[in-house]
Amino acid sequence: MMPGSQQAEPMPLHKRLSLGMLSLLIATAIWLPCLHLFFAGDTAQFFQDEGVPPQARRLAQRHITLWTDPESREREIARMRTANAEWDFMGRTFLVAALGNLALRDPASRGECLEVMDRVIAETLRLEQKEGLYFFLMPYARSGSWVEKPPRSLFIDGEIALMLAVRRIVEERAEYRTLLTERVEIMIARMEQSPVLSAESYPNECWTFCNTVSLAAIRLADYLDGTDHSEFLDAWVERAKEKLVDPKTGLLVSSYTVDGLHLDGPEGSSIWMACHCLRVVDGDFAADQYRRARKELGRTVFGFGYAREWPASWVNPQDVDSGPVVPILGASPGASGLAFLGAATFKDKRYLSALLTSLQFAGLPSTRRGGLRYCASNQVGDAVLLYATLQGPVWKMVAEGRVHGEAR
Amino acid sequence: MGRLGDLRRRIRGVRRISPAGFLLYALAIVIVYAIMHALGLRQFASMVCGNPVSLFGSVLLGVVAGSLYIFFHFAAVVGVPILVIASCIFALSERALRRRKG
Repeated sequence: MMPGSQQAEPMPLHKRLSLGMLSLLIATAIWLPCLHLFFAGDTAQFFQDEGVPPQARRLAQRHITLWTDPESREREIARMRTANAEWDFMGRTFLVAALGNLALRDPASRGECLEVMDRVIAETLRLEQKEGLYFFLMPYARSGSWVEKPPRSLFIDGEIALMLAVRRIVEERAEYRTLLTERVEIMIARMEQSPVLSAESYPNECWTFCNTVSLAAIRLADYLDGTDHSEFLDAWVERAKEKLVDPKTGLLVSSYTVDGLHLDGPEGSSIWMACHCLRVVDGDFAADQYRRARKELGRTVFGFGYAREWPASWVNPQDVDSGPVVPILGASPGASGLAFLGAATFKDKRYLSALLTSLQFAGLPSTRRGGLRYCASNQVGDAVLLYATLQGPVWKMVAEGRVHGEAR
Repeated sequence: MGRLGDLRRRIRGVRRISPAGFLLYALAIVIVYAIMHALGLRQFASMVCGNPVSLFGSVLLGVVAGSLYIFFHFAAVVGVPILVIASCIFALSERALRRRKG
């Protein structure tokens, strides 16, 4: 006879309720601390210092398929653009950066990577020229007044410069050299107009994310072309330490006006990428920012890692960058995705492992035709993860001053 | 039909707040989740990051499908094991209480 069936000796309802609740409480206390063990995977499947981790290859395969199959690409991009045109653009940047690193990690895949990188860059430049500045920006870009004239977004310039530079690091391409030099000159000229050496991404809105991407692109251009903007890069860092740091946490704020007035405090969706980019600009400052971000935003609960969008001292409503924030924990999908990049850059294996556990638990992985995607994510989210798994070789070459594997 | 009817009667006879009741809840969640998974509703989960996928041409249906899938996913991986463990604890506690009485 089944326990609890009506044939069993009846127990009063209030007793069954109490016993049931107590059993559920004990079971929860047993299960929750064990849950992560069922999702903790082998970190080496995603992150390795050399070679291509198997899961990174599967992620890359899915993106390569997207860019070689126009129909699926259109469908995916259209879906993303309905939510945020920025994601379409950022997905391209992270993919090109990831493929550049993949090509350096695995010379056999270099031809295929370069082909896709060139396709993405050409298509992005074509759209920028045809559709103009606002195509990759959110609609509010049209409503404000740009301080620096003519209007130009450092979000677009910085990421295109980064794409061109990474492509050239894998293999030189003459026409990209001019394009990169022009872009770098424009970026520096505009950044120098601001007392905090920062240019706008949106009308009178400078973003740490975009400015640090631009600094990294300038550093890569110096490495490639033998130019020297180290004075400008050092000045940016000094000015940032002085004017762009949140006094409570010591973290870089995420957005500010051209004059350096803080708009938003530190944000997880900005700071991890900023740490990554600053690594090739000022390693010590980058490491300090990572340590602070890890302390203020990085969390591990019952073996699951995640990142908060805001430190405890700063309260903001959730937005398109943070994604839907999990109540109580404050976990943000946007910040947690980019935390992979920070943790991978600074080889924070414990945090990486905890983040991966969360990804396997809540990301809803799906494998199809050899490609891996996360159903709870989108193309840009998967591209960030792909870049996090492969980043390293480009930054290392720049840091060591090697060109195409040989000493400069 | 006879066996099916007998099974239905036995299921109806199970008290909701009992070890067997907890097991039935767990089983129901697993069955619903398995059906949703087999129907391919996992792909609709991208609504969680602001990228809903249309179902039968309707974004709203896609959002509903994605939300239900996510709910049952977490119910299956978090709730089901808790219900199973709780059912064992419940049964052992009941037995212990009856022995003390008896």
